[in-house]
Amino acid sequence: MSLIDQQPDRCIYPRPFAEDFADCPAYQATSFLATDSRNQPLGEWRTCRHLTAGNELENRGRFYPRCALGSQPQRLQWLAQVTPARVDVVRALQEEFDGFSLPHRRQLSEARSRLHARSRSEATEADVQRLIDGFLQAIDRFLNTNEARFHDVGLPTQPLRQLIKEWVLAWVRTPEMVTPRWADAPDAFASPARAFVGLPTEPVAEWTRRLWDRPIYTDTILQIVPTTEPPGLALVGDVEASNVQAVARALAGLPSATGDVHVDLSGLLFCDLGGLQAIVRAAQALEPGRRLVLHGVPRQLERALEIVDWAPLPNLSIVAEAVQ
Amino acid sequence: MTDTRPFPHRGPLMAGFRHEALLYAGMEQFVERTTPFIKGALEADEPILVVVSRPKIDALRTAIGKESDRVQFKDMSDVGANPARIIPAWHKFVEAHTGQGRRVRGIGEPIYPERTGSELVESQRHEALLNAAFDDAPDFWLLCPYNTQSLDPTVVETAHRTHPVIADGHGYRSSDLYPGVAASVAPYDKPLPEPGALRATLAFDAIGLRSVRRLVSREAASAGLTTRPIADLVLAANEVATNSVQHGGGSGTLRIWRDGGVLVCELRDRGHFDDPLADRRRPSPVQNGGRGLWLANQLCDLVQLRSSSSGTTVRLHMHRDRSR
Repeated sequence: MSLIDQQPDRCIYPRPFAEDFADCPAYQATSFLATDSRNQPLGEWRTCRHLTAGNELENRGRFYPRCALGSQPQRLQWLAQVTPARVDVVRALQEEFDGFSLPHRRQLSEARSRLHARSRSEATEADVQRLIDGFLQAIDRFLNTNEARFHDVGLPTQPLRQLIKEWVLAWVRTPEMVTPRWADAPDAFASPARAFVGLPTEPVAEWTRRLWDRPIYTDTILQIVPTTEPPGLALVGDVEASNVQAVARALAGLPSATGDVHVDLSGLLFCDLGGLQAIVRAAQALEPGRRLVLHGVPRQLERALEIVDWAPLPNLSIVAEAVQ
Repeated sequence: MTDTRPFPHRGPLMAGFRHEALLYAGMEQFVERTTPFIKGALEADEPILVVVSRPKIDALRTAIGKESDRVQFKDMSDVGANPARIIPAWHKFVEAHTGQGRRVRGIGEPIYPERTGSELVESQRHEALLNAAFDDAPDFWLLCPYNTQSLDPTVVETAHRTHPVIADGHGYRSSDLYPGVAASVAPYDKPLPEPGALRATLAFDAIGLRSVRRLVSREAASAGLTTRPIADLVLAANEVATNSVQHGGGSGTLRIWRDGGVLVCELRDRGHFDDPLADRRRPSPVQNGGRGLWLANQLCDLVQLRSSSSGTTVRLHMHRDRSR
């Protein structure tokens, strides 16, 4: 058994992450100011929101870089759930926050060290309060300017404001606390928001039984997985010009029994018009009376179907309810 | 040549497509000069669609009174924000009334002072393409109002190049500057202005489509776009890039920049486009391929297409502050 099999949730990318790292679609950069056990600054580090330490089962006491989202298929499923565009908006907001807040965090980090040192003075106390006020005002301005973007990704700014404030105060006052990640904790968020701030996602409802161990097709961005209940396929990842033939073949190769054919698109991150055409043609190739039923169709795909006039085809059926 | 016949003609003077620029100065003249045209349609029981700004729709309704219920009105800022969507809208209207043995009339004002520079250029392109798009229309009379009070004189001059007939409320004359249908649809190879500072550049080939999507998505998020326009732009850019890979010499170059409130993604390749109306025809559900540019025009705020023997350039524009 290979190492990978033992640790399907191992982060396979080189770390520390390069500044322009973009290989992992679920990557969410976050920077933190590390300190030693006596709160002396150890510099700024770039990591991924989803990167944690995993315990090696065979080798107690040893750790491996673990992705909190899970294995590659789980990462893709997570991405499909929150949508890549949403991850990118959160990523952009994160970068902008990191950018304007870094000087504030640096100054506060130093002041915090002085505050918890033995030689603290009244002046330090006042200094810290001034820095905190300045930081919170800057955060207010940032949240106000970007209200629409936060709202768009499902992050209400009011609880976020409160949360950040409490974090900052707690972090400055509590020597034991490691550097907080600014939006990393909270029960204040609704569940879709939890998903992309790095908390464990709700498990995807298993409406369909997927045979992960026997994918029909695999490349670096797409897996085509047979499903047994109901009979059909699940597409997980990206369908584009480079793999659309594989999708067409898989659809054509479905058992020619009777009844409807089901395609689970809930794990789809992207599908181009060629991919849509392959699906539409597969539906048209079915004998009269049989339908191709699409489940978990991403909203974006539904719109594309409408724009190119493919939505009202008699043998193509879109199941309205989402997978969850 | 000045024609002394009264304006507007009531009877069926000539069948086919009549494409006229109507010059007017200010709102009062607009109403004064378009109302007889609308009333003429109503008297002759000819279907008429008026696509102008909301205030002008209100003014015309008031001027026409009760009979205005028989006139179809549409807001140009809905129909023609992206001017490439106007020809399909006229097609739909004309087709709906074809075969009824009646003339069909329209008023469309795609050019107004609020247009940005790029929008204006594409709106003028649209006016030129109209001559070819309805060249074989059975009997369609289209009036395009131009406000000489608020438009730049060069814009009014261009109207003389894109319309075979100029009307001014007193009479009409054929335009000396109109070059004919063939010249109106000649490949549009006038180079686009070079951008300022680039945000990103990427050379791509068949296996690089995923990188195109990733880069476009990230840049769109950083530019402040919300999730839906991001996903739209990614889909549009992917389709255009797929065209480059499949028909444009196998590879292309992506460039991304910001132009004030607009994010622009440009895709260049060595291919050649010889059908200037390619992106204005609603695709049929049975055709294979050929939907990319149509889709791009439905999803993006503006699409600029230029093609010459040295290659093809497509620029996709998205407003940065819009949340649709």
